[in-house]
Amino acid sequence: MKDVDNVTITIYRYTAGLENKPGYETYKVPVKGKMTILQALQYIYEEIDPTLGFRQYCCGVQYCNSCRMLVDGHPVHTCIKVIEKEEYTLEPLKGYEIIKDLIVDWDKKIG
Amino acid sequence: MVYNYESLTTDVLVIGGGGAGARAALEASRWGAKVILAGKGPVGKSGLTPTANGGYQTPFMAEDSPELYCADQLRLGCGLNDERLLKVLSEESLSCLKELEGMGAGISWQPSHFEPTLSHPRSVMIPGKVMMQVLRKSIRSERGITLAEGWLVTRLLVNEGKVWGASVFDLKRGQFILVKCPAIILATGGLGELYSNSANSPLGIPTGSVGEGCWLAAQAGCELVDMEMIQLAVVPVRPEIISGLRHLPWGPFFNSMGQEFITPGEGPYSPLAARQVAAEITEGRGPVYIDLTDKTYRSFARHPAAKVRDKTLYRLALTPFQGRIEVAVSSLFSMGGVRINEQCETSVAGLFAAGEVSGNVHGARRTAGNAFPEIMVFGRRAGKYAALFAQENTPEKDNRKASEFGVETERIKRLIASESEGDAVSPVYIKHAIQNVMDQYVHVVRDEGGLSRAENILRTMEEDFLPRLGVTGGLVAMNLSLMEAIAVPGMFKVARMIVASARARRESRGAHYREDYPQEGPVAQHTRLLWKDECPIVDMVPVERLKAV
Ligand SMILES: Cc1cc2nc3c(=O)[nH]c(=O)nc-3n(C[C@H](O)[C@H](O)[C@H](O)COP(=O)(O)OP(=O)(O)OC[C@H]3O[C@@H](n4cnc5c(N)ncnc54)[C@H](O)[C@@H]3O)c2cc1C
Ligand code: FES
Repeated sequence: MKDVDNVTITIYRYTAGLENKPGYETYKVPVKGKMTILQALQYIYEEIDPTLGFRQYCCGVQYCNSCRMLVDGHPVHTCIKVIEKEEYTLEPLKGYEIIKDLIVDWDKKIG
Repeated sequence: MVYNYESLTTDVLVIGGGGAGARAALEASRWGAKVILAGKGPVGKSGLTPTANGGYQTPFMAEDSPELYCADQLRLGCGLNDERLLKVLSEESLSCLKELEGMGAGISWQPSHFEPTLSHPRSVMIPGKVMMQVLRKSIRSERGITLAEGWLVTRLLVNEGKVWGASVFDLKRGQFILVKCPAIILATGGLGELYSNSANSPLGIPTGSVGEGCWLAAQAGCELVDMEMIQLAVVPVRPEIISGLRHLPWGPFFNSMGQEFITPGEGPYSPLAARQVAAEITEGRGPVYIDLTDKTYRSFARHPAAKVRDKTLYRLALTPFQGRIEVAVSSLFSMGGVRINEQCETSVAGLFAAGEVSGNVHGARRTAGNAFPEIMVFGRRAGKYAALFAQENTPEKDNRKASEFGVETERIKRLIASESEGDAVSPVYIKHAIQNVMDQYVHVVRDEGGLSRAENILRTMEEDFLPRLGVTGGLVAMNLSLMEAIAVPGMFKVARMIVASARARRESRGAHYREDYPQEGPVAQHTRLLWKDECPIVDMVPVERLKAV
């Protein structure tokens, strides 16, 4: 497995209820040792952009699904997904209404 | 900007969707109550319960007994546990566990010995996630329960010593809700995130365990006890990816000079071991490592909590069996909290509490695997007694007392209006500042000098920062920064409550070690706290003994 120093993460941005068009924003995160995608999101929220929406609550054991999202198009538990390359694209899970950015409403299935 | 607000009525409002809240909601519904189960995170999928390993103490082996169990807890709790609560716990933990098994939970009944000094091994295994899965399923089949996910309860509404409702901010819709109800159950969990290094934030990701329940209760005029009793335990910290991992076997510890230093016989939850690790680090002999490299991965991997994360770790050669792991002392559990009786009543009529937010069950030290029986036994009791209370007391009909709700909505509207510009400070910054104070002065070793400093710094920061607290993003759904900003004033208050209680306890007992008062006092007494005129007021009160009945 490759160690990387920095990772560039492109994130889907959209806020329900606001008249904004969905778009993407890109962030650069320094990688300290082994780091999960969820840890990188927490870093972005704390250090770069406090408006980022993702579910923080972390069981860390692939149970709660809070952290589940599309990583490069595939559904992944980001609490256990270790950063192994220099670029990722994160999007909300498909099939649910989006509340904000990477957060979907599990009560509202669509499609 | 238009602020919508809606008003709802129910019999019982349960605040907190962890184990205690889920069990309470289920029971209240079974006793005929109309229940709203509200959680700021997804119900049954947030809080500490799903992160936990799954040790569940119950005295079920032939040679064991409820009496032996109580004697063990009281000895390790340094006499600070209320005995009537212990008795209930000892007698009902098994039936609660069997109920979970009946709901479909797989339990591994081979008892383990996580605490080397207990008289009997009595921790069976039910992983937190399994507990929550079966509870959530049962709740879904219960008609009387409305699940309210993303509801942040910001204030309890009280009139003449009796609750009549709560103010809620719906994080999903960005909307205020006034819930009117005769009975409320607080099941909001712990406060470990008042420290920077916390097993309450696995991988450094917050679970939201910032002690909101203690502040909600204190603000409502409720009694709290033993707030200074915080379990700070030895936990892996590096590599960061395993920080907070709790299911390690106990092994030899080495300082940077390669010396082993822990007193033999102490286990992973021992306050003495925690102080010894902390001393190595503060006295310059860190970092400290646990060396488990001679233990096999296979025995570790059988641990239910290990199954998922550790497959990833193994691949990265980062399990504790593939290399030494750096450890430090981090917050794990809050023994103190809201004072309850056997019916889970608090000192405020209509307000009930269960789980980690409650205060007088574990005394000066929680033993491993003793929180799970607590959340089930007292969750069940809180549900029953709150439902019965609601039958006798109807919800408030008129809106005349809604002024507290108005004050609360105004407070949050002001926060929303504040943009983080100019000299504004962000909630994340403030949270870290509070954590620094707690790390430095209110950790495993305390003294009057440090505690009074902590008090002064907290008050100064509170006065300086709170008026400048700035939220980015405004009133939008799931605004994390807003959610943290709503919690920050309460974090200050809870930190001050811990400091005031730690100052009042002029002795060392269990988790609370005072360098200036290293001896245990002659009589075990609770520190009792009430919040009055913007200040914590603490006095010492007796612990309830069974013999006095
Ligand atoms: C890493 C770790 C391992 C552990 N292992 C064990 C073990 O093996 N055995 C054992 O017995 N104990 C263990 N414990 C302790 C145990 O997990 C907890 O004490 C217990 O799960 C707490 O349950 P609870 O229901 O009281 O609170 P939680 O499960 O923390 O639930 C609290 C709930 O309240 C919600 N909430 C909080 N504030 C608000 C608010 N203002 N408005 C709305 N909702 C709110 C949260 O979102 C959450 O849903 C462990 C703890 C940790 C951290
Ligand atoms: S945080 Fe729960 S599954 Fe990832």
